[in-house]
Amino acid sequence: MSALTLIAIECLSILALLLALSFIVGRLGIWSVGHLAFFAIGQLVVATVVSRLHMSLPLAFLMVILVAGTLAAGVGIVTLRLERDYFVVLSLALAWCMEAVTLALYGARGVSLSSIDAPTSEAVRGLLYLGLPVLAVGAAHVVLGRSTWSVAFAATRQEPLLAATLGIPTLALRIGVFMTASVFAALIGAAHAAVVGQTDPALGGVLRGILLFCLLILGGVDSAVGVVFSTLLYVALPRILEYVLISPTASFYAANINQIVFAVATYVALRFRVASSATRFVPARGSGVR
Amino acid sequence: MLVLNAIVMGVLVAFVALGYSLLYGVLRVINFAHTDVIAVAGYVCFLVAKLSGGALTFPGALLICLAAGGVFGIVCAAIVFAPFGRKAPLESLLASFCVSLAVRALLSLFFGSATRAMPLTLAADVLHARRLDVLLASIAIVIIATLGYAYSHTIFGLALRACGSDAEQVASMGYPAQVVAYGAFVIAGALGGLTAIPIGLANGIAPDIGNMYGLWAFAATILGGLGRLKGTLAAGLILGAALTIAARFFSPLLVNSVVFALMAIVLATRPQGLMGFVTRKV
Repeated sequence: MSALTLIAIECLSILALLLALSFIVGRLGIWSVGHLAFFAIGQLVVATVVSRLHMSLPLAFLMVILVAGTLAAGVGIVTLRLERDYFVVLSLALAWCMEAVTLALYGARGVSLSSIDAPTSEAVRGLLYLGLPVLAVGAAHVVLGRSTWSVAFAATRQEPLLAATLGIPTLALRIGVFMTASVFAALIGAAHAAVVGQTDPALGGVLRGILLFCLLILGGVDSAVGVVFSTLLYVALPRILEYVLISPTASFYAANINQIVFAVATYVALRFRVASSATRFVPARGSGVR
Repeated sequence: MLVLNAIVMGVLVAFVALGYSLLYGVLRVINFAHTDVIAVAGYVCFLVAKLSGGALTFPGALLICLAAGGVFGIVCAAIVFAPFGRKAPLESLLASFCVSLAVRALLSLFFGSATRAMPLTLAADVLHARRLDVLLASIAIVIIATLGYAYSHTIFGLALRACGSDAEQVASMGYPAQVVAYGAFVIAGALGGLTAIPIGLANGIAPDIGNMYGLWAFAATILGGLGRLKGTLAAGLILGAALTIAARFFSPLLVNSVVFALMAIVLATRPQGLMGFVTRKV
């Protein structure tokens, strides 16, 4: 696979994930920091179904929807009533759990999915499997943002008790959107594995999940344009650094410098509210405290 | 030997977990950078040993780890807690992620990702693994007893507990709540820093040295109840010991999966922890 195709695939998968995350964090105030756990679930299911059960790819995608949907529903029903910091920790616990399960089942190298029938080139598959989800979630942002649903989302986020009094099914709304975003993340994980022909546990790891959340904060939690900008910067910066630092260990230095740059930039954004304002999108306190 | 190892592991997990719990109990802050104090203290020992041209003695390493942990605690307080305070817990949590990411990357850049040996010379009689475990367990018991006494019988302990209940009231009564907050960070950092010696001796020093211990400690904090020190201490000791014994018979990754799944279930069903209780407001 060419370097350009790999970069495009990385860009599209991050963009799709961030746009979905931006929806649930920005519009509903669900701080799913460990949301990449569902990406890992997608990879895990597709690897199991294709390489161990020897089933076809469409069936694997169906299984991904079923497994991720069921898990997200279970997690959502029980946990979306928790206070925000507890939900964040639980989200991370799920991500740690998935990372450990993935490593226990398939090891750090992941699984090769070379048995997948590939009637088209990787570039076309990448565009199809990952480009379409980006368009879909982008369209959802625009359409839902202009509909009356956006008012229901805002009410659920800012005044959940008042929204419930007005007849808006706040918990059902939050669970529904969380489920959709989770299934979406799992499908992106499955699609990524199918396009590249390999699962990679590091891509669904907790550290990467936190980095992606930083990208979201940096771009602005409800800003699709900001998310696109931060994704491009995140993908481009290591390549530029590798180009500048001409040495055998350039990729090691580039990855670490990239991590420092994004950590510092996110901190600055949080501290001085430069690119985003995280507090604007935090739901009202005291909602559903157990 | 297995029992002794289990006790030492329990103590290590409990030490790191106490830091998490203390900070949440007093400041309502979840500081994810707390785990990195282990690596920072380990690398400070490594640097001091390199600059002094020889290996460190056990008391010397102990002091250095305490100081490095305390200083790291102050830095975390200044970056993670001070700008956001109690009113923005999610922002401070995200800030702690940023600190953690930056610290790990900086350590990797400066020292490389390879594991280094802990530069510590031990007397021949202490070097015997069993005696070292006994020594570490004894030191831990003394520290925990001292902290327990200070927490329940001193003015500072009273101020810590009062800040956990109502910091604004504490400040309005003339107590320096901000100093108490920094004090909590220093204690948490020093406790975490101390664990760098046994962890460094067992596994060497690397930027992600504290990763697994931090996760176990966090699980212990959740199981014991966020902010509940006695519960955290008990959960840390039990979890650390159980992990050591379970790792003998099952795959460590499988054990980790079970621990995190248990943590998620406890969080979802009993957010106050297994040993916690619900305080109802009237």
